[in-house]
Amino acid sequence: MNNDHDDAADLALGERMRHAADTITVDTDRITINAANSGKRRTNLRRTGITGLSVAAAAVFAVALTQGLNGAGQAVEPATAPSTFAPDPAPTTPTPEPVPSTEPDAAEARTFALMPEGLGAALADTVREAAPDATVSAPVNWSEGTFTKRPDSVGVDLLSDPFQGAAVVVDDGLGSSRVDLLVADNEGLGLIGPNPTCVGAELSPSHSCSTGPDGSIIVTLTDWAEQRSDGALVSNNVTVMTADGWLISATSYNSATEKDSPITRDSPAFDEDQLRDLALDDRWLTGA
Amino acid sequence: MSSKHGFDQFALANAQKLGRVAWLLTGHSHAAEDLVQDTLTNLYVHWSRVSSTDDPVRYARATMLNTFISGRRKRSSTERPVAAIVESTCECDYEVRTDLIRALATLNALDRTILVLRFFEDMSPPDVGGQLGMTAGAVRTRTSRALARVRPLLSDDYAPHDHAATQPTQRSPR
Repeated sequence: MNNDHDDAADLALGERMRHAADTITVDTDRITINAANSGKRRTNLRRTGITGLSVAAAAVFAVALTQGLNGAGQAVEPATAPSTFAPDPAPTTPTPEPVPSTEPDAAEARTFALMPEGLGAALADTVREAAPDATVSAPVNWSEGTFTKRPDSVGVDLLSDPFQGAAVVVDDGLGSSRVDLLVADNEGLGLIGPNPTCVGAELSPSHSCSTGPDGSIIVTLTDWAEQRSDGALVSNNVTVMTADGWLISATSYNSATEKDSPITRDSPAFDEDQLRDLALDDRWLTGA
Repeated sequence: MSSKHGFDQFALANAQKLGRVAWLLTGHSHAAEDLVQDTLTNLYVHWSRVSSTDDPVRYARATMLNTFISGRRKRSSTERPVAAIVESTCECDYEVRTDLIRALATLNALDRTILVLRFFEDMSPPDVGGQLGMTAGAVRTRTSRALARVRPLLSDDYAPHDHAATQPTQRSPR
């Protein structure tokens, strides 16, 4: 028994709670069946691959996750795919590569390499290496989930769908440009999960999906323009979804922030190649 | 699949307890069932991971608490749950439940969770801190403040009632 209660009144609170709750019942059979059915649907969606449009939606989600965080660092719901993408073609029957049920969950083999505050500093260093002649602002960072510093790793509850984000403002002499990075467990509800695929679909010229040698997929969105009254907010984005269930997304804008700041230049400071290098950098995740 | 059969066994064995904690957190039977179902769905998807842990029950509770706390954060700060009218054969039971739920409803999600873990689950501050990613000192501080807020709202004439003698019919009407 926990003896850390202050007085009799506190003990009475516990008794009140037990008195009030002990005769509360839930329909365990129905809840169990419904939870299993919902879980099966989500598991099957992830195992049978994804259409090109779903890849776009995932990339949009990644962008929305970096764009949609408010000051308290809370994510908004994923954006729906923009109408500029090619319509989802009639899906061909996918050829799933079944994941054996006894296969260990590979996402547990890697985890976040850095604490949330460390991601910002590392992003700033990486950006400086990529653009040595540019000025780079102090980073900002945000995260969701509980991260614990350990001697050789970062502890986190992956069931909480954690993510880390960081951003810097780069000025290469052509105007301020935000560069941000998102590192997330890709196995959360509504996300793609491990072993994603680019199921063959015709994507737009500015939107591509390719498969890397390690089974990761790389989704690229370039010159994605959002029309505003003061001009077009243009962004480039590269999102890597790894075979072991991680998502790393790098984005650059032609403005110092993704909203509420003036358009400062014609195009983002970081192009597709630079963002791909940023997303594929091996300092964001570490093996167990 | 044997692993998913393990999920069914786990869910059937723990849903009731999770439901009671969920009811204390949400103050509403429907919301409590939704919270438990969302929690178990998440566990199903990650079952290979969950079942390999030392304490799947702790994982389930942590998942439910995280879902509750993060879900409440996204809503308006002015939104407060209204206690469901729960059928009961005992008038005193109804008053106790309403009294308690209304008092808990004055707290934010995190403080409510801390009181439920400390007093319903009888967890120590370090255990609560470990569950929520907080220090034991922070748990104690928040507990004191939360108690100071709810104590005046709880009737002084509460006395333990032998509710085991009553017939439990606590399903709120749909």
